[in-house]
Amino acid sequence: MATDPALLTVSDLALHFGGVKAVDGVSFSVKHGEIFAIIGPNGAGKTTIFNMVSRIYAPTRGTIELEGEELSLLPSHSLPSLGVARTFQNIELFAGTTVLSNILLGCQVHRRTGLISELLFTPGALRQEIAFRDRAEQIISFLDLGPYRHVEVASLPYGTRKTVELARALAIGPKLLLLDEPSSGLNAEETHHVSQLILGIRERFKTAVVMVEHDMNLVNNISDRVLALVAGRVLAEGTPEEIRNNDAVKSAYLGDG
Amino acid sequence: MQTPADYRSELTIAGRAGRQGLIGVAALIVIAIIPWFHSNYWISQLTFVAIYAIAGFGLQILLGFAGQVSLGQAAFLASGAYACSYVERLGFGSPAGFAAAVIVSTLLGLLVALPALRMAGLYLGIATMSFGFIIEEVAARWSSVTGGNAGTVVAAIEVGGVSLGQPWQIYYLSWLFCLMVLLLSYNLLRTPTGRAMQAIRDSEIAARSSGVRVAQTKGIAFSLSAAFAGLAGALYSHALGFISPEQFTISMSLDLLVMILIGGLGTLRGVLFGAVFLVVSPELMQAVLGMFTSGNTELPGLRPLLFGGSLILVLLFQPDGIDAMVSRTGAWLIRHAVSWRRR
Repeated sequence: MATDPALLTVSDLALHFGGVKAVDGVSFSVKHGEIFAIIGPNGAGKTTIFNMVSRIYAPTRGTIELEGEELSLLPSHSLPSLGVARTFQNIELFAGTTVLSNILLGCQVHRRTGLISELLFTPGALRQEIAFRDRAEQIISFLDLGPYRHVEVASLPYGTRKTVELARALAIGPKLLLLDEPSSGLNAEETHHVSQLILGIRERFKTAVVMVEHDMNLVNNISDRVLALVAGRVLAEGTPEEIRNNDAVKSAYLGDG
Repeated sequence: MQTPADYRSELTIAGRAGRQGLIGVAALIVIAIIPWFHSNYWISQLTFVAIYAIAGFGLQILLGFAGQVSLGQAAFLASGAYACSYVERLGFGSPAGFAAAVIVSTLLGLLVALPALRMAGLYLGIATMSFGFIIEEVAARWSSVTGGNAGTVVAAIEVGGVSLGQPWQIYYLSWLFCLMVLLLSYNLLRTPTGRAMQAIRDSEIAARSSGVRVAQTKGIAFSLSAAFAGLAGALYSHALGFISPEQFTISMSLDLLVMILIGGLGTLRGVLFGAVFLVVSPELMQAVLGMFTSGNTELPGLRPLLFGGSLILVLLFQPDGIDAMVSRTGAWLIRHAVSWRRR
């Protein structure tokens, strides 16, 4: 079998806040194009792992490698150009600007102009704006955001804002898309839509998806592998089926019946 | 849907024809012909509209778009004014003086960006205000360069042996620079750096994880706003013919802030409305008061009272400023004009 080197390899990752071990010795790896779910009760360290991978927190210990490149020493703003994009649990958008402008900001990871040519709006800057707009429009049409293109984000309903955040992340052109609770705040129908969307994203944009998720239906339906955490440690890792039938997971999450 | 076919023309200035373009051309014509119809007094007042607008575009970029407070913009006008007059006195000519004004102010702007990397909001306001006091003090004490508290007489602008000392000459020069700065600001806001500024204003964490270099972007916002203020300062010194430290106090910084708040935060057009308000409203107030006080209009507290009062009214009833008021009135007029035609 041909070796398929992992996209993301996390080894012995730990983050301690004083005596609190938020994450303690977590290891896992994600393959290209894989949908990988991280589950666990509140406070298990799921979002903390996300925040370390996207370099918002610096780990106390351990390594995070993207295709062999160590991420934990890089500033967070350099991750998007390596192909790492993320969304946030509580939606972090640029609320005072339009949907289009939010997506264009994602596109500009691929920026080639300098400040001077932008100030003078040189032909190069014009060409670049047209290229960004093309890219943005592809994402707008993929996510059905057309009617909201010129609408200010602050005035959009919650579900649409979540989609806009996803659009901005896709505009970055990620190899690794980190979704922090893609279904939180959504109803059953919207959640079903999101699961179809995530499958569609993998298909169309050839990206691996790592998601933190509470909705077990969503996790079971679309993920290839699941990592179950408890109190900052790995409890189990495997296919959704294996995790569902794992006794340790059952007793930790549901209590001994 | 693909990118709209007209997007290229949407992006070029000349392509933005129609109503907005017409209004712009009309405004340009009015600005161009005003000196033929007005006294030197009004020409000089309208010169200050352009000068305040130049500094205002800078502050708008900084506060309205990048979300960084500055209560010390007067310091950048001061550095521009003094740098320009010093270089001119050394005999290098006005173009070099203006270049020095922009360069010195830009560097100071970069310096002030440093605290902004760690502070925001009120704390940043206090830091920038302190910077304003420091520059004011430097201007008062560094007599060999600035002339100290006694001030410095500024000679007329001279370009290649031609003196531009007449009020109408400074008027056209100021408006030319004002248009240039407006164009640069407009370009900034429709390209990556401008979008990055709005991104850090709205969510630093999302900006960072979308690839925005936050420190660099804040540095650019501060230095651009300082560069524009420095240019405004150089023009200001020539429009007045005299500079002294007491012109560049906190009160000037606050005037600029009031100007963009009343004009409309986050719009370039609002800066122009704000600048007109800043210069014209005290004149109007004086004229109105003159009718009641038989010409005795020397009321020293009038300006702050007028600006403070207007600011409160605007924030209460029209938080988006004069610009939004104008847009709304314009839309109303057009709607009614259309329904009139249909009748």
